[in-house]
Amino acid sequence: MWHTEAILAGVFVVVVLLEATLLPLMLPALRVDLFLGMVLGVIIYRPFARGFLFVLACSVILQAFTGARLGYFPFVYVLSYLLADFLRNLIYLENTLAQGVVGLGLYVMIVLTAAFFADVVPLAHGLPAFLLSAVLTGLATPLLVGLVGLIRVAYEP
Amino acid sequence: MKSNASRTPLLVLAAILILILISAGQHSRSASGMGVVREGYAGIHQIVSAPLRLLANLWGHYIFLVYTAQENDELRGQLAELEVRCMTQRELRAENERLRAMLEFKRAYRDFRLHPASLLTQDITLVFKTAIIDGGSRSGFFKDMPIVNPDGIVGRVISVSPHTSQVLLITDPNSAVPALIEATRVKGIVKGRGSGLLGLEYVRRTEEVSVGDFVVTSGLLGIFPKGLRLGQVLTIQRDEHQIFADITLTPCVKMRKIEEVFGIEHHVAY
Repeated sequence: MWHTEAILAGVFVVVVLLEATLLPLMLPALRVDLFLGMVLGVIIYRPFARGFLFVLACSVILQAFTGARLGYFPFVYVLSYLLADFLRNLIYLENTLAQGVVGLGLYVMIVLTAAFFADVVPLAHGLPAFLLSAVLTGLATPLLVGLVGLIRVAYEP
Repeated sequence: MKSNASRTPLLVLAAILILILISAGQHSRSASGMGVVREGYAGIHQIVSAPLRLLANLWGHYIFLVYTAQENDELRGQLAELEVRCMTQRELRAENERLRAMLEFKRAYRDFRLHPASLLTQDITLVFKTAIIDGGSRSGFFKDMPIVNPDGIVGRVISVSPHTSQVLLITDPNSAVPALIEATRVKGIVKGRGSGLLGLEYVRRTEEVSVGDFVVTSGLLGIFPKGLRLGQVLTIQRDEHQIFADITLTPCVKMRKIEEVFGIEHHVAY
């Protein structure tokens, strides 16, 4: 019954390994948000309640890998989840381009919210890194959404 | 169509959880659950990196040599082997230089008890600058322990678990370190600007500051030892309508290239 969520949890561990260790080693100036793709994926392919609990649990775990104030990650990812659910009623979120644009937009929202709470100007010195990170997140989002879709098809034919 | 009634309990649950987490505070005891996550991650990191190391060893010491034997070309084999050796030696030389710098640093600060550690992960956000290292309370690390490398101050420990510690880098917007300009002894506070640069704040615009001056720790508050390098003055802006100058520093430590670090024992007199 919860097979898909269990496999998604495994994918989440790989996402954390990539985000926290491998990608900062390869691209030190950039921070690509792969989890946003999973958030969009569960919105599209999972029931609302299960997806909500999955995103909430994962965002609490992600909190361990950042210096952001405790509670910030669950707040922004739950907000992203609800926002994506709302957008799903307005646009065709199954479209790859739409996923990329929404991923990029949510990434920008998350970084700007973090900068607002931390009282810093993120664009003052790191504009290229910020923009490139946002674009890479936008490109990675459809891939992660597709992965969630494949897992759903494999475990719930 | 999903009913709003079924969503309400979930939203209430999320709101309660977020409020509890926010009110608990980043550095409180109740935040120690994050340490459990980091401990788990350190274990996963070990498990994942072990087969990769094994594969690297197999490739370097077995498969590659079989390939050269099959080629049965003595000259090509020797050339390839020499190239590999040369590459290995370059890496060894770089490692040797890095370790020598650390040894010299350790000799220079022999009054301190230094605890070595390696970087495990970096912050997953663009705004906040923290890192997780593989030294925890069992290796002598503790909260507020200064973390340094041979180039200067890296940050301080904000959270510790048995085998890992979370380090707040000096470039983080939440970081503030009492400092002074090495040449003129003008005091200020070095704060992170979240973009990889630092700011030297509360320095009057009439004070003597020049581009290129080194800024070191002042030793005030007792967290960081006195005289460790923080950064170098990059720009100075003096607005006659402002009391303080706007000074930007580049950190002495290349934060993106940190590998090995030291924790400085707090109770040793300095």
